[in-house]
Amino acid sequence: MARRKNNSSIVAIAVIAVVLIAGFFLYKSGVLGSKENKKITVYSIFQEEDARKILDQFKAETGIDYDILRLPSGEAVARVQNEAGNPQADFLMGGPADSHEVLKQAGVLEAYISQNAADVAANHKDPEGYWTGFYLNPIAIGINEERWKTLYGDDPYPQTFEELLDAKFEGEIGMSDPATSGTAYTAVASLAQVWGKDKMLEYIDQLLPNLKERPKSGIEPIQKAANGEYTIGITFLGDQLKIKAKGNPIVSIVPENAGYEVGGLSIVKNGPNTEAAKKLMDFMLTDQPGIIYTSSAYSVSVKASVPIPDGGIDIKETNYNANYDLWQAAADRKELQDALKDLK
Amino acid sequence: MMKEKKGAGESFKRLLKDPSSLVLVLTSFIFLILFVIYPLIVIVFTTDGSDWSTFFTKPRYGTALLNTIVSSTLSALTATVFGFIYAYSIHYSNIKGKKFFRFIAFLPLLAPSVMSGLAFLLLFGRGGFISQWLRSNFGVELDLYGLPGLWIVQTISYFPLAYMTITSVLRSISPNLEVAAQNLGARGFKLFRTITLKLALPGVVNAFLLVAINCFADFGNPKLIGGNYSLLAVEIYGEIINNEPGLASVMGIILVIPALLVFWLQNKVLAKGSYSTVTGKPVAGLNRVTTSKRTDWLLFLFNSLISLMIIAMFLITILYAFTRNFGRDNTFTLDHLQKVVFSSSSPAVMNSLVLSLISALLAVGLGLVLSYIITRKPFPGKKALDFSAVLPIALPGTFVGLALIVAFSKGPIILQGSAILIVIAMLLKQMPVSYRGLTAAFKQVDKSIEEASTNLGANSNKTLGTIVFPMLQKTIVANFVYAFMKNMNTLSTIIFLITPKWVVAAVSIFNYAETGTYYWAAAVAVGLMGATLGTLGIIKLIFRDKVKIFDF
Repeated sequence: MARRKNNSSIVAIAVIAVVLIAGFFLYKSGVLGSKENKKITVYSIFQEEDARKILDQFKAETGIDYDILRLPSGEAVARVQNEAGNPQADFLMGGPADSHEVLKQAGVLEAYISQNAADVAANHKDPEGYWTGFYLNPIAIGINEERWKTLYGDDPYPQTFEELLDAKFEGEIGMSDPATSGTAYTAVASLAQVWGKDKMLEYIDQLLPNLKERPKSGIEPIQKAANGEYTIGITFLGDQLKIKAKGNPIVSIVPENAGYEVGGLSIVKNGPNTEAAKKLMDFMLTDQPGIIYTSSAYSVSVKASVPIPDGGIDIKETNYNANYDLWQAAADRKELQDALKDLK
Repeated sequence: MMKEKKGAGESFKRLLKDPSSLVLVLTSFIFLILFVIYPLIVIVFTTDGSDWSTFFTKPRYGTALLNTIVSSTLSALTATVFGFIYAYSIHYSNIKGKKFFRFIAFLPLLAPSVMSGLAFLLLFGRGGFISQWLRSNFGVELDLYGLPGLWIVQTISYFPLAYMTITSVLRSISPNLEVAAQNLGARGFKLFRTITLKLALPGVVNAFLLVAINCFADFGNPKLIGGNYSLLAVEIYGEIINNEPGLASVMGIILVIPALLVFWLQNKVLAKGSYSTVTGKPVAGLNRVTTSKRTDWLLFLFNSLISLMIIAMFLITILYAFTRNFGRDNTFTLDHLQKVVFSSSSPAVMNSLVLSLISALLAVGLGLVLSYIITRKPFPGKKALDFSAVLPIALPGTFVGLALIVAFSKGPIILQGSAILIVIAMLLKQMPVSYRGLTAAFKQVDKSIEEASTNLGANSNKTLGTIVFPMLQKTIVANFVYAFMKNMNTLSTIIFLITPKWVVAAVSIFNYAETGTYYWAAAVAVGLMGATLGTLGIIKLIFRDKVKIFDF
């Protein structure tokens, strides 16, 4: 008799479990809960913490909840492309504009021109609205002050790319490999646009002996320079300021002709909740998300109305290459990178 | 297994007369063909000659293969040695606190192996607790990224597996033999070497192989702390992302070869060469010969060191989860847990719980059906069904995930992007364990009891419900608990399969750890362990003494 009683309680628990699980699935698939409040699904290339801060704000204002998956930009591009037949995400947040351009060419993005994008400069957004810029981040020369002092005393810091060719910097500079890394490619593509391809290649050829290493990851040179493994790291400015804000002795100089990254936003075509994605795009282009993002990433918003964050540097006050053409850079990519691979 | 005296045609006819069994047999065949055989075929045909030549001509893949072999062998060696010493100390020595040490060895099973990687980063990584302490007090710069760190982490996270495997062997060694040897003059180390170690050797080799295969397929730890030390599982991940399924499949197949070899070794060589019967049950007889005082002391020291390491790893994770930013701002907070565990925008822990429960239920259910029809029903193709039911146990998790994503993202059946694939991937890894356990249990239930029931007028369903299932209850629950715990912690099997809606906790831990958001990684880990413990607690409350959980 005892066994029978036990079995019936097991059956009861099993039934409860099945009901709960079924309810959870219905909730997940959006059957339960009203239509307007259907979740939005976001692929984020931003740090998840930043993305969540922004999306929590969005949720508070619109009542739209979210699911998020953070991915490196290459992975995000691959995912959106692979899922073209059955899109899983609605919105792609962050990542260099060339990644969004690749997706536009692949026909997997939805065109949408937000009214809030009116004050974004024409060279920071896609003319047809397939993607819109969000932040700007120039290439900079990051210098470890302490190591500089021990090695070079009171010498002035290098202000241009040319000055980095000085023989005294042999083995003291780190830059990721321009043949593979997006960061370093932004630097050389800009130089190629200003100087022409041949002079740029000649320059890199002369620079190579001074490079201590060419790591895969774009951010690594400034981390190592901060640790004192060498003196100079060439990376995006935001990465340098971020490391400086953690208390490292870093000075950043944006040299003449420095290229810059435009971080983009885009809407995935035929995603499960495109309406919400359009609302999110409008929201992203208000000031609040710009402030949240730039104050954590130390980059500069595409919008003049968003203030420069504490400890940030206004790109317009630097010598950056304002004429840098990212479409041109994307078009030249294969040719330039192949040529760079031939350099030893 | 019963020998079928009549031909396949005859057994097929008998099956036709028993429609409910026919349905079970057909379902089993369809399921295994669809989710085991079909993906394997697809993956083999996804590769072409150029993928193979790329793999063998580009040095980076050769390096990754070599690195994988080296690191897995090293980790498996140390994990096995540690597991052996630990198990030996618990079964042969007079040390105090055995219960505590057993409990400590159980702890790592509660968390995904990637949590060991996370805790390692928090302790020994750049900016880690111990690294910083060493730097500020002794000016020592600790850099364990790459092989050294991976070696340590895999040793710690897989030593419980070795410990459990070796424990069951040590328990089955009859003390009578050791006492006899002692009477013949063997003492101390000689006794250990000639009797205990020799008898335990098959089990030790088995543990080594098991750990090696797990290390071979480990994805999270190499990605987190491998640094520039490239490994096969990580390369596969990279090629999937680069949209090179052919190349990824080649590496997947390379990954499977040693696993299948080990599987074959375990089944053929070890089963025959074993000196002791591996039943896992203690053998009655004389009292065990125990170790000397000095050895006890050394064993105690060793166990304490291991325990200290494991406790430190859990402690640092908990500290990170409950403080703003441990080391910089030690204010107590529940913010992190609220944001990444209890928020509707972060369903990772909830997803893990739901998917793991469903998958564990299905795994045990399918294991039950398979073991039932294979031990009790005659039908053609039994050997093939048995083989494909056990096969997934030999396949590394990374490979299972890879095969599923390659097979079901193109072609006639598309399941990519749904939770079904995640459930199936977990199920495939756990079902063979249940199947094996239940087959053994079925064989222990004498068929004559069932025949008696049938003779008394019960049909086959009633016999199952009233006779067979109650007798199998313990095994069923035990397998369910095991499958559930494994599902909660799996990472390498499902890393390719997650979708933004169905992010699971192990993946979140990995993602947050990789991007340096340590307090969130720690909070998810704590949430996951809480969910696992809570569920186990409920199961314990329901089944009481019928299930062995928390019995150390």
